[in-house]
Amino acid sequence: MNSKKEKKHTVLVEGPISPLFIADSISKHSTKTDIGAHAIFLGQVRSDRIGDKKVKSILYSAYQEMAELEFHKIREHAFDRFQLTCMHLYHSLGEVKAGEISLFVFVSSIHRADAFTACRELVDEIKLKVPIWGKEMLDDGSFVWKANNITTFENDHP
Amino acid sequence: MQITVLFFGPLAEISGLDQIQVPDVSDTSTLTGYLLGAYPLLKSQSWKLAVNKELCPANRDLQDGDIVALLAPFAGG
Repeated sequence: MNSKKEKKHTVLVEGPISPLFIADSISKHSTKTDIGAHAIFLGQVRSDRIGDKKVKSILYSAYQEMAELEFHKIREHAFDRFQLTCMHLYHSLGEVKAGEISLFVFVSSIHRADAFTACRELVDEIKLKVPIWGKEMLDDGSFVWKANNITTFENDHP
Repeated sequence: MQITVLFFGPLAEISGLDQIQVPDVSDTSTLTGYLLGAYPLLKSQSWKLAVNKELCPANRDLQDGDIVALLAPFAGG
């Protein structure tokens, strides 16, 4: 278990996360027969309507070193709190078009309760704590910056 | 003494640069004051500071070589 937790994990990947990659990740677990439950969250880029324009894609960027550190902390925290057999986290960088997957959270456990709860908490923590930014590219060529939890940032200049 | 300041996302568009060097700032409050003076548009934005990859919610002393990042609201997921 410890060696598993200490391994260096790639989380940030260039471009969208393909459904084939997700299928392949699932199939890799068929040899781990102590697993009874997988919980998977897939974040898909939504074509929000902004005024009379529509989101075509999101351009993701990150403070990579800090993002990797935050992903590591989030991962350790979940392993401490839940009984998990394994965990895989992937987030896109660069362009992801509407309808494509930008976040893949995959947790496996003996029973479903830990898998469900851990999956939900992981997604919430990732959105709240990881320094990733998204530029929503609109169909007229303009853009707006996406923000998840703006209230936690208001007037926070130290 | 030299501090590296990194700008990300919408804040990099305000500064026009990914990073700058700021000499002789002893703490994050002084640095914030300097940045708001140099880039007044930062006043209308929401952001937080991270010092050496750790969020910095209150004023703290800075050391030579510290890396300070200006972080706009996150948008992962």
